[in-house]
Amino acid sequence: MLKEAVLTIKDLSFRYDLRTNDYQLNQISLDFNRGEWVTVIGDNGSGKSTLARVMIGLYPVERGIIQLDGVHLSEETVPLFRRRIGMVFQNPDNQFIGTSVEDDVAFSLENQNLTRSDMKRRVKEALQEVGMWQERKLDPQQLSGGQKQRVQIAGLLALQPEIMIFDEAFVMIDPAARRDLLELLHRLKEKHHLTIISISHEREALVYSDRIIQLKQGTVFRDGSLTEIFAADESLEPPMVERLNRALTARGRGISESYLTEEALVNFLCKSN
Amino acid sequence: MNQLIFGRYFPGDSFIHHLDPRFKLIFALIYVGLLFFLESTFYYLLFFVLTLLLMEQTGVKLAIYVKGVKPLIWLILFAVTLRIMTTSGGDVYLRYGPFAISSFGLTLGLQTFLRFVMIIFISTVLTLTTKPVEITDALYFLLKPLKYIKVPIEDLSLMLSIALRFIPNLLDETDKVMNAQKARGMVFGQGSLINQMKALVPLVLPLFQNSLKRAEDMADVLEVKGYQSNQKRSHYRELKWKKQDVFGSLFLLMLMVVVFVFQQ
Repeated sequence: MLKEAVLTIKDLSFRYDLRTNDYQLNQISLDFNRGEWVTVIGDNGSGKSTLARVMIGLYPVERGIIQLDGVHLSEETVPLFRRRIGMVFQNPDNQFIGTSVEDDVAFSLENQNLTRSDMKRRVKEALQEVGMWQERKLDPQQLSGGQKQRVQIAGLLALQPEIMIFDEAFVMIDPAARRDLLELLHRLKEKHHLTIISISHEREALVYSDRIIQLKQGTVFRDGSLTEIFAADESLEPPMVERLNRALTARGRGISESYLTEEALVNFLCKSN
Repeated sequence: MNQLIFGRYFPGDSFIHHLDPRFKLIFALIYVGLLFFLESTFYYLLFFVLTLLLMEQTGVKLAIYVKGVKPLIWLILFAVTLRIMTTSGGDVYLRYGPFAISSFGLTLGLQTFLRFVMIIFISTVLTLTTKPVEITDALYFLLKPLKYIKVPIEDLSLMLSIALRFIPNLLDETDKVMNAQKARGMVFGQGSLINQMKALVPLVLPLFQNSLKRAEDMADVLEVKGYQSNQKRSHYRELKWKKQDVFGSLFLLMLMVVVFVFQQ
């Protein structure tokens, strides 16, 4: 399939303190393609979260260009970027504005000044897609971490964005809920042809990535597929499927990259026997 | 910390629970206003019985309401005592310098006590039966005309809604920080007033720090979700004025007639 860049970054530099020369992002150039799942990895302080926040206009672009389908990010175009790019943050408790699940999903739609009937339809569709329609009247405090992040995803879906950014959004939830959430995102990505940019340390999240970008001291250190990235850096601990792939390859029975999810791996191994 | 009743919502299915929040807010405000126009003890007692009936209607136990009065009992007693001591007239039972205990003073003291208690009870009826977000919606609706003189009603109602939404988090967090400090040997509520105040520092500092972090996160979320000050927004929740609100309004009108016509 032909790759079509939806979000383009050219020579982006950013520093928190304009009086110093300490750049958190230094001449970064990247293309994010439509329908692609990109995971950004890197050590603490490598600039991952800063990059995400600059991309959505939370921090101003000091030097360089960010384009969404050819539109430059500027003070005037920020609202457009925020309609087309959604973001979920790390702490699920600090993201709820509404006092019920459906109120929270509707909040972004209220900001778009949509009619009540349109909002009701979109809220229902979004909550059904993430499997939270039954819980629509609940207080967010009553939900588990995984459910809270599902509601945040519903909030993004209701806005019908093209790009979803997850800033360490899978950290504060238990492993089983995390796997379910990643599966759900994978399905949504395929269904809506979404571009997903995930800032993550979680190895499970890497499995779903079409591409991994490794940042180091504010620059792009590596950019490639999961196999390429982990083959290039022995210090990185790869996900279980990749370790298994390596072990099988060593014995002349490697798995292709399309067998990277747990379910696909089980299917592959069962077929092999 | 979780003993605080005022400002909490108790889910229920009573007639009062189902009333429109705008009506409940107006009712509470006018009801409190009427209490200041009562002149005789008979009317005070009449309104007190009425307040008790309203409380009973909510289906919430009386003990819960009494709990709501407890934190303010010293303030009420202080005001009542001051009222008794500084009012003269009628039979004087005791005199000490400028202060006296008289039959007028005792009557006014009782009326002051009942007025304070009724104000707390009726506000508690409002908050126990109305979700915070409904109160915010009602306030937004009632203050909407102020938009024309450039008062940022949208921003104010959102601020109030977020503040109310975080009250349970803040209470839980206070409990956690208190427990964490107790585990480190901190003792709260003991010793001299100065020592008790000093003991609050390790409680207040982490709470402030966390609240500031939360406010920062919330500001980012608001921006990402497309909130802009002074923008035109639609509203998802709908307030509906129903038949019971009309009956409630007639009842309120009747109370006003009782106070301003019959009482004269």
